[in-house]
Amino acid sequence: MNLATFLSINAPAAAAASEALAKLTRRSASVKLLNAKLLSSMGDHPPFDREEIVSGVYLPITGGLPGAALLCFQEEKVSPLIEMLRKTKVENPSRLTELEESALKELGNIICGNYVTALSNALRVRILPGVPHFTRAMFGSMLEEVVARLPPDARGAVLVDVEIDLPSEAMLGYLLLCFEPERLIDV
Amino acid sequence: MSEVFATADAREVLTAVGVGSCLIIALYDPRLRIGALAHAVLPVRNGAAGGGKHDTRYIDEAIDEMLEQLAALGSRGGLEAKIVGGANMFPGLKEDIGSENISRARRKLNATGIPIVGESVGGAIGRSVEFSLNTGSVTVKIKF
Repeated sequence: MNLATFLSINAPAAAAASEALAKLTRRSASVKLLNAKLLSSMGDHPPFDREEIVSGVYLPITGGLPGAALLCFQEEKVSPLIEMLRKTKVENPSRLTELEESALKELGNIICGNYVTALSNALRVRILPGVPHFTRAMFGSMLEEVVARLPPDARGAVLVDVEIDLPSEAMLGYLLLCFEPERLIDV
Repeated sequence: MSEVFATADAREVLTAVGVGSCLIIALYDPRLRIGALAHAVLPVRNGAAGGGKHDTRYIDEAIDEMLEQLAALGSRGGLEAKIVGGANMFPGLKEDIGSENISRARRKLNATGIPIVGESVGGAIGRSVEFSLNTGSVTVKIKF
């Protein structure tokens, strides 16, 4: 994997994601995509402890470079994020409503979708993000399911820091991307 | 993930942390107080097996590997099984890998004559597991 390629798409992907988020929330919004670390596997140097409860949005990636994207946020940061997206208070953060989950899925769509589009443009390969799926669980357990759905030889992963400006603070999330290595070499 | 570990040391506690759709299989020989733990990812291998070696990512082959390792430690049968995991972490997805893992393990264990004496499976929850070789007990931690 070429790290420079991933670093170069952070800015255009973040700009497009910020614009889409501003449209959704009808206020100025800022999404920053920072750094890009290459991991030898998706479970290598994870951003969270395997037992830590996190909220995650998973999107399968299809097309010329099949793989997976997993966007994760720390549990305690999710309520302010949903409140920014929906402009209504989250009553029970450990039992989100369908609409609250849907808001996070839409955020996953925006961030992962724009990242994959920027990657697609940079590599000149057609890559398509799939339908987003939400879960709130131990980080390790959601990572397992994503890895199980990848081809056996899909080992390398890219970890991107995601920073979203909320009214009171900036919140940090993580975007994990994994692709079939043989296809990546072909690219 | 994809690992099998067997031991005859009754002081050992085998663990698996943050288990989702994967299946943890604990086999215990209460007579000898020896056991093995597998952390299998998928139900069955698609395509031919390569090189005669078990690929412990798959349920069937992980169980075969456990039986071989336990036999090498002196077990001659009388094993009991406990299974944990097999969750469906993203319930909207069509393919339920967790359920397939559970079914495969039940079939394979039944075919090998090993009774399942305890289980904590399914749902959309993560689990952590501790398997005590001293008592054969399996402790499951669930966080909401």
